[in-house]
Amino acid sequence: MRVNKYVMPIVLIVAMFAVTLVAQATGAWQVTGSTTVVPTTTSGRLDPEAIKGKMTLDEIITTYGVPKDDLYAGAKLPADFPTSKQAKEIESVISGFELDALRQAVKDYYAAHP
Amino acid sequence: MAKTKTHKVTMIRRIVQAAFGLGLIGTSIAHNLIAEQAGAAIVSAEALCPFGGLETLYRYFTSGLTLSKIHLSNLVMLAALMTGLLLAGNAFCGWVCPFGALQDLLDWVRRKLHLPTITVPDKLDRILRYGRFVVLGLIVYMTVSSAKLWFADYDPFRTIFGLGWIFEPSLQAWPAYLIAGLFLVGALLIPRFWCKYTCPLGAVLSLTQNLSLFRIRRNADACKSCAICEKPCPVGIKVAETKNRVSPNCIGCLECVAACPRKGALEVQFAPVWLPTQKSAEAPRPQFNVPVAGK
Repeated sequence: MRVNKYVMPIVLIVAMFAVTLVAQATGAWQVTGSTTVVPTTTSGRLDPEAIKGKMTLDEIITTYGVPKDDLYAGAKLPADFPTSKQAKEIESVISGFELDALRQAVKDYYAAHP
Repeated sequence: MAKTKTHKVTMIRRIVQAAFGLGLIGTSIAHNLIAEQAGAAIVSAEALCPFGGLETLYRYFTSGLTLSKIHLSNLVMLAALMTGLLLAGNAFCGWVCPFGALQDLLDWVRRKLHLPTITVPDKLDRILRYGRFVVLGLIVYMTVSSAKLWFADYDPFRTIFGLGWIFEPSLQAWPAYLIAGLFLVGALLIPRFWCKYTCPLGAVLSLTQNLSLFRIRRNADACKSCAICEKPCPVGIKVAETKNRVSPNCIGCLECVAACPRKGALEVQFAPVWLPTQKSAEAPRPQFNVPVAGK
């Protein structure tokens, strides 16, 4: 059945906006990791994999209950590195640093303190 | 030199593309300038990329988490795109994708500057189009095996529209700048270079294209195979040689439909897969000598 040629782009754009609006209305539209609810692991502790680049080191220390010294030692961060910095900012200051180092430091702390 | 006619479809499409492209750039500027200082959740360019949703799909369903730098908005955009795709085919690539718009802009610049275009031989073209699936496979494998957003460090979409090259230029990002540069040069020399040979999202969309409710169809009885419709096709589809459905590589830009001088030869149809092939009910008009319309 022949239809107006503009039906294709109109239907596409309306459908995309409709899905996005429904997601916003239901709270599924999250554009930053800092608003993501941190899930727990099977052991009942917060999942280190949920550490996001948006989180500050202070937030990681508080949220995950890892002492600063243990976190810094595990992630090989200089002791004088400010805790107010976001995790993603470390990458631009310390060459070769990856967010996974923080996750691993928390995992190691959990393993050492079950 | 005689001026070539610009179709109404082309004008409308350019406006829509510009709206989405400029909207994305504006959002990205706001994200870079405002969000960090105010702590506001202003969406970044990469948080709007549907392909990011595809990259994190495996991890999301196996752990409930998204990859670093990927958010739920990416999954929503993927769902929105797939919904649009099932309804209207690959029109996303031709009308919405800012990357496609940038390539069309570069093609327009090339024509204005009277630069030559590289014509890829048909056989080589067919082989190179599989490059999209190679890129897709590589990204999926590396992302799943490393549980990281592996492609982020090379993704030209993120490099260009994330605007990090303006707000946070870094020599460490040279591979991303190099790839983005190659992409820009490629798109300047070959129309829709990225879409045809490299786009991993395009690879996925081409696989699901046949499921859409609406599609462009060629009526072989009305078509005289004049190939006028092929000239404006940004992705170089041999429209006049297609059997019935236009290729899965079609980006739904409608340039071919607008250019076709024969009523009923090339048209948009409501043609879901469960309906038998239908031809236009209208009889074809006699063929006239219609000038080739450029974009």
